[in-house]
Amino acid sequence: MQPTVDSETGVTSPAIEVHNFSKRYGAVAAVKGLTLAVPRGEILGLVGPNGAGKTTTLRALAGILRPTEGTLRIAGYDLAISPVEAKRRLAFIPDEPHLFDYLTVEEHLRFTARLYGVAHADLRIPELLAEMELTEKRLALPSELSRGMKQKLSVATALLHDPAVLILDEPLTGLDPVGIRRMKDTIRRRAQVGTAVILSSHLLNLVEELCTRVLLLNRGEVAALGTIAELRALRPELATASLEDLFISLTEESAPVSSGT
Amino acid sequence: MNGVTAAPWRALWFLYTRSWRNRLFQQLRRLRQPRYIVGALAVFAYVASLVFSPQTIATGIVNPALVDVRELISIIGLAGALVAWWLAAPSDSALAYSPAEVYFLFPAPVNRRTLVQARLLSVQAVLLVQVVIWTMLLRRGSAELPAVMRALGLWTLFATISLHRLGATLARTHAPDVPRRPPIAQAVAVIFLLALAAAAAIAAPSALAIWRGSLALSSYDTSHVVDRLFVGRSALQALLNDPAVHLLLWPIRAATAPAFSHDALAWLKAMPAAIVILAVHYLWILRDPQPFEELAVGSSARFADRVSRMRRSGSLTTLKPSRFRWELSLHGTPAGALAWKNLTAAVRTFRPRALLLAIAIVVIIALVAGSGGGFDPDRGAIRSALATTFVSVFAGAVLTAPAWFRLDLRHDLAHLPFLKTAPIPTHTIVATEILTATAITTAAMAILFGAPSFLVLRSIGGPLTGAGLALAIIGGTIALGAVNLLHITLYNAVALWLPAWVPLNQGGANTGGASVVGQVYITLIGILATLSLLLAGPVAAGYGLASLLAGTWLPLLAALSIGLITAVCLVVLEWLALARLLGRALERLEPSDIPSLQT
Repeated sequence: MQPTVDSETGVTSPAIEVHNFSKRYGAVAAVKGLTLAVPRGEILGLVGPNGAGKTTTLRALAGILRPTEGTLRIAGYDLAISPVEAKRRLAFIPDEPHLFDYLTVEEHLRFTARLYGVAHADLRIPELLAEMELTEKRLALPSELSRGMKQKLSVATALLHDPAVLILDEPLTGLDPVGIRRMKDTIRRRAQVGTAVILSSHLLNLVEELCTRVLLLNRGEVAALGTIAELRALRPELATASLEDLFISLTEESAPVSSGT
Repeated sequence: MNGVTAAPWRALWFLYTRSWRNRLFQQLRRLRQPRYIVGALAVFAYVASLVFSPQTIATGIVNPALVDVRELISIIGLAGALVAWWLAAPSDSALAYSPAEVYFLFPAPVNRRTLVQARLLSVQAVLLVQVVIWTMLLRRGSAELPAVMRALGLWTLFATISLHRLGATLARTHAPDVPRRPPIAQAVAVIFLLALAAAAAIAAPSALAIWRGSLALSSYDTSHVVDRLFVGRSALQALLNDPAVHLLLWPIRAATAPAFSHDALAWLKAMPAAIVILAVHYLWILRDPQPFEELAVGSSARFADRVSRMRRSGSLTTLKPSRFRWELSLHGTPAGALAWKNLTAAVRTFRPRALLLAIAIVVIIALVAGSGGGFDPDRGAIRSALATTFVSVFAGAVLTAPAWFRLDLRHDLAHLPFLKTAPIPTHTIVATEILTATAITTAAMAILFGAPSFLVLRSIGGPLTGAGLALAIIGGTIALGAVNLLHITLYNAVALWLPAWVPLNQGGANTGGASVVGQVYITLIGILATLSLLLAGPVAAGYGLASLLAGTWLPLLAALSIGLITAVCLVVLEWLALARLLGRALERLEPSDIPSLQT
């Protein structure tokens, strides 16, 4: 079945739909019954302690993992039924940039352009190289790039096809202060033009600064979902406390109580 | 004062013994998994076949000729290694600490001597494995020396070699901001090597005279080839026994003697000198005041990079900035982009010198096989011997090339997240990866063996002449492509269905060990067996059809061509079915299925 498509942007609303998503690794349940929707232009922050299921959720949304249960839709396309159409509309930026050893910076972009069938790529590639300050390095191989430059290249390849959905796993890892500023600006700009962004991070100030809503995961389950103000309203006694204290409190509250405690 | 600075040796001992113990336990624990126990059993069976084979079982019969040849080879090999260590570029690996060693030990409150001791201690595990392997191998034909004595002799030899290599590296390298010391050790080594070369040059005429005597052998039948090898050995032995050469080679002889002793008495006589040489090396290294930390950090980083590249791509080649450019068109199928990526990688990792050398060797073999060489009256025997060698080299290439050339899913599964997010159907990804790898492998083999095959076939003569010969080469290339297609598909199938069995982007603590070696052997045997099964049907059908048609009005070449086309079509049908299955396997594959991607 074809999704309902916005005639102007070519994107359905909501851009990301997750219904009853679960993922198990053998006997271990990484994510349990997650349901959520991210409309166009929203930046959703995914936070939670280590092992909460953040990366599993992001990887499943990117089509890397198959859900054990539930459905995942990107721009209206079910990842299980129309994976190619769904993937054409999304971009995934992992925390560690995985680049091809044998392709130069510019060749990574040409390769991605051909892979995604990007229109006017010959104009878009120089623009992105300039935006990411990679023009001088366009003939360099990944082994000749710093960690931050690799990350920038990873971002450039992700943005090349103007994705409707942008998925970022710890996007600020390895970036310098200027790079961090640029990355934040890039994420904001993408959201302003209607891209749905979902990002995971342990940096709560980043989440507070960028995200319109926050999803707090704990042990694979939703501990809280809403704007920062809505989350604060859940714990009025922590109204003036730091965001860190609020999240720790919400996480502890959602954790199953072990016997004897 | 804390305990670490007071007793750094204890800390090092703890570090390495615990690391080895934990690694051993980890490998034992994983034997609970069927794939590891199967691999371990395969290796155990292989080792048992070596140790308990009739040739190896202690019979009390010593083959002194065999032992002498081994000693001869080891002396020449060590002399060559000395030339490389003292005259060629210093090696990175001798000073390469692991990244963890660099980050834990270098900033620790320990002195330089402790760091050197750490390096010496860390190589002991590798040395011990080498000692066990060589003790087993050297039991053949020389079973009179007890295994423990052989092992001790080998350990002394390997430890001396390791120390000498480290010493040569330390003597020849210096940090950029440290004034270079007078290169005394290097000067001594160079003088020694020059003296050895001069003594060998003076002794050479008498050795050559022995060799010339062998030229009197008028025939090149197999037994005389063997005779010539023995005469060559005698000539070499005469050269090494020249008094001056013998004297200069004494340290090398003394170091190798216990490892190659015929019996316990000879071992007891040889061991003291070998231990003295080892002790001198140890003191030399520890007393060397050269600061090496900065160099070691650089060496470690370069070595780690090379190892990581090898684990990712199976190649130790270092990419250089000057590079081939073949611009990808921005318009076309996405699969074309994948094929372009792999072709670019193949060209960028390709080393023309290696291919030219290989072509030169194969062409010389083929030329000699084709023309008789013109240097011996009885050309038939040597020609057939070289033709046999050529066919063996070709068969070896057919059997092993798909295992070596890995720019397909075996390389790209390290980028599984990329493959899974790319907007291309998975069966298209699989097909493109395999077809590109097949095209590159077949083209490389055609370039390497095409012209030489022509020469060999022409020299054999018979019914193939002119157009027939050309058709045979073309048909052979097509058949080779079909075999490579299935062969490479099977390697990719193992990578997808049993990702832990095929080395991909290996790393972490879960790799290595005897059971993994066993897995590799089982994979190889399994793939060759499956390939034979898959080829059996098409070959039988093609051969049957060609035989039927050959009896009709059709010319033989036409009948053979139809048979070949039929066989190739059947192979392609089998491949299409496999590619579909593998596409589904790629769809289901997750990073957690690949141990090396779980980090």
